[in-house]
Amino acid sequence: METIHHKYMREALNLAQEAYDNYEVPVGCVFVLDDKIIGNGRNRTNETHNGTRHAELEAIDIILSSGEYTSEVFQRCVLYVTVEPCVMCAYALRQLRIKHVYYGCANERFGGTGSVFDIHRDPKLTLHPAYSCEGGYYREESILLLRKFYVRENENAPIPKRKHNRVLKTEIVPMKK
Amino acid sequence: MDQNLPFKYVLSDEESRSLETVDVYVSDVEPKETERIIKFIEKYCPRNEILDHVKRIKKTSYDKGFKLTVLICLVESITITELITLINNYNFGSILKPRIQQVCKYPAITRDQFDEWRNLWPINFHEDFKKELNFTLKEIENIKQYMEKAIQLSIQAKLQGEIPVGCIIIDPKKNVILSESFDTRNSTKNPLNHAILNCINNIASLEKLNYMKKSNKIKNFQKSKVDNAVIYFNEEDFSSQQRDKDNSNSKLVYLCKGYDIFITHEPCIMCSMALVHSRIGKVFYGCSNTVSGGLGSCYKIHTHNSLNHHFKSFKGLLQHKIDTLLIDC
Ligand SMILES: [Zn+2]
Ligand SMILES: [Zn+2]
Repeated sequence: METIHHKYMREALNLAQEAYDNYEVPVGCVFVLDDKIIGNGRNRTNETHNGTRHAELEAIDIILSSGEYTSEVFQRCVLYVTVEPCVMCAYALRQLRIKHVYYGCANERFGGTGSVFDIHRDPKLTLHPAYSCEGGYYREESILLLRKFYVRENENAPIPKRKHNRVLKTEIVPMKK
Repeated sequence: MDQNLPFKYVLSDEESRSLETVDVYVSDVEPKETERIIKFIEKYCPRNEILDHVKRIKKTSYDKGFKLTVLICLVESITITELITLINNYNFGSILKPRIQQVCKYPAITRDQFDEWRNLWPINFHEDFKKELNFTLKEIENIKQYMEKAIQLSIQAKLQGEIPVGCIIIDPKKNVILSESFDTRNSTKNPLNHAILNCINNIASLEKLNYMKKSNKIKNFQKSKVDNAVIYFNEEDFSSQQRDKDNSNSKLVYLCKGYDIFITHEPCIMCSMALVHSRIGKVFYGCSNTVSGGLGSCYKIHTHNSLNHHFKSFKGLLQHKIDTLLIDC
């Protein structure tokens, strides 16, 4: 069923596609305040030569440098991001006291809201409140975009990897509960 | 011999874990039978790879001689009844009398673990762990100087009404500072502008300028273009020739490869992960951060198994100075 969450996640996916078109890891996000997108971002690690310029940090900087909002705004914001936030972004969001996070697919390698760590709700971290997090919105689309990216990267690599990495796999394992 | 270092290595979970044991069958044996028995064990008893770090024979010395005990196999791999049947089938019944003994479950990584765990039952130990943790007197002197520099930056931050955390990124091979920075959360009204993210951003801006210059996208290298950075290095300090060859995504992964960072306070979780994303070399910090520290206090991001880049971290460097200068941090 198409929900309001799908509508915003579609926007995030468009940004992920834009990242893909610009040879960046295809991850995109939008911050929503009172049913209005107040800022968006996509991965720019390649363009900026900076491995920390993830979609979330890009969007946060855009929102804060617009002059329209102070950092308190994030306490009332919901984030839609195509891939589970990494450990770095997960703690960035906690510091901003984000209200809620919706994501597309899990991030098995770096995920900070369930995959590698539970930064969003770890009770040890007492400086900032926990936040809730929910995955699975346009999950298949998010995964396919990432796979397309890695297949293309591998094709362009000086020494391509094994053959099975060059084929775009389209079947997707159901989400873990 | 142990070096007296002005900082402490931040151990991973594996390096700091205490003794965990596992039950095995052992039996005292006559020295002259040992060879035969070892052959029997190797050929017919269950093989346990998780015991590769454990020695097969224990020698216990007495006033008048010694006693040998052999390790047979893990208790969980065979029942005692099955084992005794096996022993009897090969006519070892009179010389092998299995009993249960505990041995350490994991290989010792540090000398401290080895010294403690070997008391239970002899184990193997490779001291490669130590090699990387040795520093020359000259290196230790430089390390202190770099932290002094980071402290200066934290004082500067404090004078400007910022949270007093300072950091520098250096190239240890050339012994040169590449970027320095401090926390700017207050003045920028951005809660994420921590010293480390600022410092990484500086390096990235320079890397990008350098890259654009090399590819003739801009004619003149303008230092003023780089926000908020004090830069000491000229273009040769970037080992970017190799990086430029590879115009794919992977080059970015190496932004801080081979560089070290000195920071007055233990990096928070966000900054610790930013260092993973940037492939930092080594990290030296002064004070630990018990509420959000990512390199020892709350998490050990620098050694976590599922993350794809690991680095050595050292804590407590000039901590007394940082403690006294910046009480209210
Ligand atoms: Zn991230
Ligand atoms: Zn930080």
